[in-house]
Amino acid sequence: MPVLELLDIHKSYRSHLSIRKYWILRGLSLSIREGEIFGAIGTNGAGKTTTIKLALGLIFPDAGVVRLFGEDASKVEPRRRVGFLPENPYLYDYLTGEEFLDFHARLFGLDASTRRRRVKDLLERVGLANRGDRQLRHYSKGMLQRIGLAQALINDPEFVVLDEPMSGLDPIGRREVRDIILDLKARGRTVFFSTHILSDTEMICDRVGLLVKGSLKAVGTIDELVSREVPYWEVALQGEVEGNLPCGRIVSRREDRLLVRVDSQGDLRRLLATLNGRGVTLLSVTPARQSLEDLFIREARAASPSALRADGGHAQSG
Amino acid sequence: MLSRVSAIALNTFREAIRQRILYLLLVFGVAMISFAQILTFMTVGSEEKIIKDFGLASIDVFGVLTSVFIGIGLVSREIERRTVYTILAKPIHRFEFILGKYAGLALTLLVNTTVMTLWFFLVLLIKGMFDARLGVAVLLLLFQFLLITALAVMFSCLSTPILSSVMTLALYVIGHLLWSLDLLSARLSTETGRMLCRVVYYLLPNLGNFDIKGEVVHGMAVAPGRLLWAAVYLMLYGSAVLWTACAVFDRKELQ
Amino acid sequence: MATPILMRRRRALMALTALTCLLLAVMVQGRIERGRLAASIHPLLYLPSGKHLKVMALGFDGILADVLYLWSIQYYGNYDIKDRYTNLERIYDQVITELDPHYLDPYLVGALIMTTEARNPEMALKLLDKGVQANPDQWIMPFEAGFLCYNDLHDFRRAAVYFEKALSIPGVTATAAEPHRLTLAVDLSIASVEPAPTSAQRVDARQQAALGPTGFVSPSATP
Repeated sequence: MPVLELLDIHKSYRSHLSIRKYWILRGLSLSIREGEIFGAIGTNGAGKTTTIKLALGLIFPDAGVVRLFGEDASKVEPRRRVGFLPENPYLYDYLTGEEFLDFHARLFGLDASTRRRRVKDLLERVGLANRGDRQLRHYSKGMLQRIGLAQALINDPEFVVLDEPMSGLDPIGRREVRDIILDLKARGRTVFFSTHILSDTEMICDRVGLLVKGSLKAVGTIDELVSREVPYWEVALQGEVEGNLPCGRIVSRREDRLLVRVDSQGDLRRLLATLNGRGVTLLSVTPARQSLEDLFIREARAASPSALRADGGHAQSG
Repeated sequence: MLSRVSAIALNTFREAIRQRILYLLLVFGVAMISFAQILTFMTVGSEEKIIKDFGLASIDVFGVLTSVFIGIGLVSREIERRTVYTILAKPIHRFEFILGKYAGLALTLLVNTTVMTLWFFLVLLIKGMFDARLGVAVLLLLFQFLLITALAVMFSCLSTPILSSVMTLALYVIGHLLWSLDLLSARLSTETGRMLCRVVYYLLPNLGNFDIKGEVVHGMAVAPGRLLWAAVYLMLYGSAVLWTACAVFDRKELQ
Repeated sequence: MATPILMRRRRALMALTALTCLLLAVMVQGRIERGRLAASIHPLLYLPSGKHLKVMALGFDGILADVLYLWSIQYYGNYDIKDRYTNLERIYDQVITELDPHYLDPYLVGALIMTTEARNPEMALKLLDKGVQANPDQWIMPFEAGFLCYNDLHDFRRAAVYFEKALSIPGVTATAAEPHRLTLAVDLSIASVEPAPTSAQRVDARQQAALGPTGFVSPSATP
């Protein structure tokens, strides 16, 4: 049974002042499997946060069904097994860290000793062990993000939903969050998070979903989404090169450094062979892997054709 | 269910207590009661009426202000600041959230009113003007605050803070003028007009039920069971308002 | 970046400017006050009637009556204000006692001002009649009315009617000093009534008031 299921969701938004409807999600279908780490990436306003809110029953779809652990998302019971961290959460700044976590723990009906234990453990786990007695109004942004994460884990949930969990964190913080997510997976939990930072998804996600303008343009493992083919190689050289190169194209030249692009393995070998013994130093050979970023940009551009195309890249078909 | 409602209630109470504006209102309330003493130096005749009037009026005014202005923010501030998201993503019913917020403010009002009343009674005791029936008057004022808070919470779920304040204050004013509506209905010539007046009269919150200030200060009789009936009215009308608030909040989109 | 000395000087200058402005404001306020007495039209004189005020008071009519009463005492205690009795009836009869008909002081003090200062005892009686009607359980109302008739109008018949009414209200025995006044008044008024009451009726009346030794105590002049 999928942990979260969205079936053909349509969601619109109507501002107070006008009668115009803005479609946020059109025909979105998604299902999250048990035990996986799923990353939702997409442009701003693509509908990532909306999808998350639908999953938690904070908003309701115009059409379609949302199911959490097999039950309708508007029901309260399934949320017992869920933990949620919203984007840029404002928290009750008059509470201390401990009071804050204790408050959320009470909402699960946990008894006093369990609460005490969990609060202590979680503060340690997110690296706030010594700051529990300070009011949240004195927390830095990174600390707030961590206490928010702690709150999401207070009930030891099976399904953890995080909206932009890395936002506002320095590289150390991001690493810690990544570790927590991996640790959750190791314990058999399911994680769904949305992010702008593609490299994070590449590092930890089992599956990735790309949302552009309210619909899911691509979903699958990284391998499924991004082909393994190497479209070209970039060779960095140092030294004087007289005459034309046998193959390849000079992309840039600065002082005595040269960047050459070759389109195939064969061309690459021929280039290296000719340069050998010419007094030219080989600095690096880099295969240009198609990345998630390329996919992202490609799909985003396709959705808004009026955007200018950057130049200098190989014309990616699509 | 009770643990969740009480968790929210205690949290709301804690938030209200830690808000500085509350202390400001409290200090002003106490100051007003003390101010009455100064005024009595200017009077010819009994100072007792003036002190009692001022005391009750201070408790009344500051209770209403607290009910309206903190009540309005209870729900809308949570939504505005998105603190409500983490709460509603937990296994808690939306109506439990509303009830918890209301209970928290009710507790705050109780504490506030008690502090002001204790000060008031102390002043009266020192001057030998104490009358236990004033306690009944204050209790009825507390009922009034609870009703106004319910209205404030309901409007807080429906619209923006500014509009909510206006609507709640408007209902406060109307609630104290319902007796004039009664008079108006007697003067109307058409049957439908009178019926309409009656309907409106019963639909609006009758805040006059909670006002025995005049009777107590003048030492006049109060109808027996007045307190009891006022309590019943509060429970019924207040429940109607709160359940409306819950119904509205239940399907509210939390964008 | 201003040096500390410069910053201090700047702040001192600002403080000095603020103080100067305040002093000037105080002087202007004094000027306004002096100018005001020349045309003593007090805004409170144009108050709407008590009935309308009651609507606006939203349940705070008691305290509003208190405040207006306090103001009225200051107003009528200020002998510099000319023609201050033009609105006397309006203030006490139509405003303050309409707002709070059970507040006794305005009736009593109002009647006093009307009688002793404005020299209009009939106006005072009208006010006291209103007080009697609104507060049938307060013996002081008809008593004061009776005394007014006896003392100022020398209308003993009317005085007698008022005193009898006062005597019929329970609690009239409560005060200590009043019985002295009451004795003489009762006697005088009963004496003027026809047919003359029997001695038994006289004793009865006295007993009803539980009067102590006879003696005439001058009416306590209210300040």
